[in-house]
Amino acid sequence: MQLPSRSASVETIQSWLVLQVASHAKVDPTEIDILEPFSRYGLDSLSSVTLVANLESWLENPLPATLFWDYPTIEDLARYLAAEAASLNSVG
Amino acid sequence: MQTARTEESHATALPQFAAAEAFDLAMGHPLEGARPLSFQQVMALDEGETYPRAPLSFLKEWGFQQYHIPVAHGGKLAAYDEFMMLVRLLAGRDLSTAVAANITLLGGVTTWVAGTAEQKERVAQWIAQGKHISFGLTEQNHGSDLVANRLCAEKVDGGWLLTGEKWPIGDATQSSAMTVYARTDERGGPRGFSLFLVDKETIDPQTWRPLPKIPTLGMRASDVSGIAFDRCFVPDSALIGPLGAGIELALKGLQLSRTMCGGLAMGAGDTALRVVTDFALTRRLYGSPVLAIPHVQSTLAEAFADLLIAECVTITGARALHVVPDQLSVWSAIVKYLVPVTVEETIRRLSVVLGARYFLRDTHWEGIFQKTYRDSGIVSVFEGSTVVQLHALAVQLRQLLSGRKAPVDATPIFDLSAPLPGLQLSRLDLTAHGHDSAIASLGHLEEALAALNGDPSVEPACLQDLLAHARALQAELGALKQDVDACANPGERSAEAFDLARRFALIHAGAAALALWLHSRRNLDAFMAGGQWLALGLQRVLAQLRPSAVRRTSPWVKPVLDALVSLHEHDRLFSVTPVQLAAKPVS
Repeated sequence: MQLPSRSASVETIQSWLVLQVASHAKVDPTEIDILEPFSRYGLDSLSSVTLVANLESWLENPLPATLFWDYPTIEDLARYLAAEAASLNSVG
Repeated sequence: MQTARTEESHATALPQFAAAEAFDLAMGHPLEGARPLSFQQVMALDEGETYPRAPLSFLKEWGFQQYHIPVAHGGKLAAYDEFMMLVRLLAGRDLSTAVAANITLLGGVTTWVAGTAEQKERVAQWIAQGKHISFGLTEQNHGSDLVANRLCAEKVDGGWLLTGEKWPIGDATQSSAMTVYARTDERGGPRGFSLFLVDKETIDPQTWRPLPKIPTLGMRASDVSGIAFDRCFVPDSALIGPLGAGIELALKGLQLSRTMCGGLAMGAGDTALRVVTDFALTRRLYGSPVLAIPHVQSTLAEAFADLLIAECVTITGARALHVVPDQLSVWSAIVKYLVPVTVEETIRRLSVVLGARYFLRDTHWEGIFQKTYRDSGIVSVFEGSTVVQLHALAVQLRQLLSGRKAPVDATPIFDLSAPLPGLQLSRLDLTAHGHDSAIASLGHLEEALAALNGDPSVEPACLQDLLAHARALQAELGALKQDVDACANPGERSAEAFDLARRFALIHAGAAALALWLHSRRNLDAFMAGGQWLALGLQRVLAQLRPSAVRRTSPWVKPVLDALVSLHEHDRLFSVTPVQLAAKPVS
């Protein structure tokens, strides 16, 4: 598994994901609940691929296309990505 | 400039197409009525809506099924472009037979991608025995919405109980086994589905039944039906890959079958062009052959050029599976979108030349044209429709246009003489992570073309045209990037997003054709190496990108038409690598 190179905190990643999901769902970011599954905001299995691509560009590293399937809420995903980034930084 | 062509001058030295020549010879010319794959026989099967048993027995005897087993498992599937050419020649005879014969590629692929060694061995044995494996993916009420599927697998001791229906499924009734896509988590979601390898010959007959054959517009000899399970037990050893990997594996497997659809569509295009060329040469109107009419000349030459571009997209897609399997989500979507719609449009335009005969069911080459016309329409629909492909491209568009350089040497995709790496299906990926080696090649094409200046094998005016087309494709790429940046959400299922994806596919097609020609021309015959077909084909790709451009008769219509007639008279395939076909019987 490729790891994000840009170090980012859980909060930074959460805020970024909230904006992305809000933009996708065409709602105000305040309406996004980080504990709700992505599917609740109209993100189907293929559309989530777009967000993985945006995330790859933002974190400057390849990520699995199935990321949003295995970490189905903003909270899960942000925590996972922050932990991966931290472990990469401690190794590198 | 070589103009007079002998039979030898069409010869191709590319070893991957030797099997195709042997295969066509074994099938015999399509007008040899008694042969199982003659037009007369397949027309009778179609009229009778009868499953093509005789053609399928012939294929089994010839060993066609060996190409559904990777070499690593004892079969002959070594190079996907070699396999694709066989599919194409078969599809040129009868799409019903081609789909029935190749359903196993679709039904078996997820086992090759993620099955256990035991499952792979089992599937290899079934295929070697000539058994068909179908793919039970879609359901009546859910179309291409995979997460909405209802057929469920309930865990019990030692296995699973399948309950629900799959419909419409190719070869559902005739196949001996089926890979079944089932809900394994009642909450659904992208990890809520799994695949099961179901041996229809061993499951309890009280717990399943076939659903009736569905009447269809074309491919009437096909078994398009379904299956219904009612608490049907399958053992634990039926589960393919990890639990919950169903969507992921189905989407990866479909990348191979969608690429194969390029071969199915090309076969239909070949036959339509062959029949209409023959008609234009033999039918006389106003005191001359129909071929003397300038509109007919343009129609035929343009159809040939369009099919050659479609062939370049198909062949490079097949080779990309070996060289850049991690990009296949993009290549397969472009093949599956662009090649069938190009062939459909080509057939529609060719029908004009036939006049009333296109509508008649038994005259001129057994009436095969109208059957091809009807049959070919399904290729853009099955295995994920045109809009499904455009959506699959659209979700990746922004990243694909970000200009990322693929970290591999893509030359073997385009150089037909380059050896291909073996299949590495574990490297398939759901997205290309921004990489498309055809688009990436566009930046180098102008320089490579300029290097041909003064080369006697390319006419200077043709080279100038090719250079202008290469620049125009670059400009179109720049314009597309701007339009994608301006689009609020290219991942949305909107007409705007689909049109952006369509333009991306066309630019990819132009780049792939140019790159194939540049890298392979030393192995092509004098006409194909001369590039006039490419200049004509690219002009037409660009016209689709700039629909307002004024239509002018290209200077390349005449040489392209001459080559088409020569290939037809020598029973050669209308191809960049004109495979020798079975000779026409002396009547």
